[in-house]
Amino acid sequence: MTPRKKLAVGLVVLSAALLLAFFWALIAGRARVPVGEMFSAKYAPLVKLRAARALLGIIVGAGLSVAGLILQAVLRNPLADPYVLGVSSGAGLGAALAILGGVAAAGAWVIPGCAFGGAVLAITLVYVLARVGKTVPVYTLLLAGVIINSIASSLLIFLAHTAIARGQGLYSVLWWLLGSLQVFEAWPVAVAGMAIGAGIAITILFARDLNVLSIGEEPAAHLGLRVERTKKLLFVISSLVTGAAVATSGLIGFVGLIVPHAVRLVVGPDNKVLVPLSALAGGTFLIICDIIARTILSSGELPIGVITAFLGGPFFIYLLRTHRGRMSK
Amino acid sequence: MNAITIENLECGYGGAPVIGGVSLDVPRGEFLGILGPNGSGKTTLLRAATGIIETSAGRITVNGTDIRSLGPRDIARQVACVMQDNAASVGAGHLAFAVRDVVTMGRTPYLSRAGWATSRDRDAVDRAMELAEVTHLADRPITELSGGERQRAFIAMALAQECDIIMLDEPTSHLDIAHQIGILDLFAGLNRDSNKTIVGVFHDLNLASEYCEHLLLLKDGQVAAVGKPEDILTAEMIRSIYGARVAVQPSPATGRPHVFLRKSVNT
Repeated sequence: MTPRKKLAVGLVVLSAALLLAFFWALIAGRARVPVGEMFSAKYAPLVKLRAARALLGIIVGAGLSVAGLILQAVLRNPLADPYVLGVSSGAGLGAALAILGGVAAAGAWVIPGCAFGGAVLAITLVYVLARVGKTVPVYTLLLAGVIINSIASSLLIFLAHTAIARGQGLYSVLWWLLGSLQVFEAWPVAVAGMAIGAGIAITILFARDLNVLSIGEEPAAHLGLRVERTKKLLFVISSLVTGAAVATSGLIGFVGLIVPHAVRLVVGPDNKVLVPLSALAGGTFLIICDIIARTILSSGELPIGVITAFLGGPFFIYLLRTHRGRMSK
Repeated sequence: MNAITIENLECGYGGAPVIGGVSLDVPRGEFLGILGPNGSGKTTLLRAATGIIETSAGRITVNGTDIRSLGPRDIARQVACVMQDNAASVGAGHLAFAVRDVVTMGRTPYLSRAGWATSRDRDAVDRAMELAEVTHLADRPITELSGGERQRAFIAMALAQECDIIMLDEPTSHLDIAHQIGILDLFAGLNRDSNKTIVGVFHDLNLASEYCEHLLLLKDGQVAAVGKPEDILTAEMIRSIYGARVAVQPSPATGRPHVFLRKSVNT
């Protein structure tokens, strides 16, 4: 099958899956909505709330998947993911500073903007720490990610505790650290949607560059790619998308790892096909995780990050084991 | 017109220049071998000639045009490069592109951002795979090939660029002699039948002597000698450039000079 056909078939199948998941998200929950009464006066407000939440799930899931995909191609490393590498915590730290610093009120873009700044800072530090000559070996990358992640997380927890001391609730701390798709206002969703939508659109245009970069920087340069410029741009896009996702939903881990790998298993490594399909699959995946998070406990809801980490942890070990031989070089 | 001209080239990686004042004319249809000790600047010279590193002084033209006035994509339509085979270069297992996908990457300098490979691109890819004899491997993941097969796949990628000039950077190191001969025969054929200009960095003096029309010896970033293999590969020259004692004899098979090593301890 040509890549073009693969993409067409994938788009149809995954769009259908996304719509189905979206529909399921509207009716499923502790209060089950009868399909016939979705738009009745009794259920409409609840359905509207769930729709907003599912919409955020699509945006964030698509964004985190594409951010992971970019990092995997540019770092030429299958274990790269914004959460694992500390980019998400960096973004969370930026967003927390904006909230606690009192500058968040200055505009809708401030929190995502600061999250983006934190994400750029984190990925830059990880890249500089992990680089050995011209390559980024998997073990130094993971080590650098762990270090940056723990520093950013500890600062985040520190900030959260000062917030508690000032009378802000413990709930918001957990919200940041484990992620939630709860929607309180429409504008953060709109801002995240625009930033992530733009980021994915640009990534689709750079899909061929991602392919070529994955065979190595020097071969890519010989094929006419401006390697340094392209890499920087892609790091920035990945950080922008991660920042926007974290600013609206906290730290939801492993999505960028699970989704691109799962899609890759089916359609192969061509990023021209993989980028749009991972975005759709990521949205579907996060909606489903959120339904599980909302319904698994009879009382209250679980943070969605618990579900993604529960699925992502074993998946990470599987990847580490299957790729170990080839990656030790 | 020359395929490549280099005038007073100076370049390096930020510190002291690795190449200091090299001038060189490569006529069209030439098969030139670049030789020299480790660290003499062979690979750096190739990188400068393909425009992927900055030059601090001098001028390089490709098919008559200064490469500073060419974008990287323009250069990649005129000069293709085959590098040392390197298993790590194909990436980790998650990037298991099929051979056909890798060869199609050779069309990158012709493809627009949003566009897909056209039938013209697919024809170029098929031709390149046939020339490099990897058609039967088209659907195999590149990560599963042997060193020799993988190198042929990357040669097919370079051929898909449809360039008049092909640069080689030790394309046969790490390969067994059958693959070495097979791959260099392929380039010799392209040189003879399609008038491709070939400039290759070689580690193996005998391989270079056997295949190249002319040889260039680099030492400390400067040209030490240029000429026909029989004029360049002499025991005195190799002693002065490499600091190694050798004997040189014409090959009984082809008459080209071959270098024989001498141990320097008595046993």
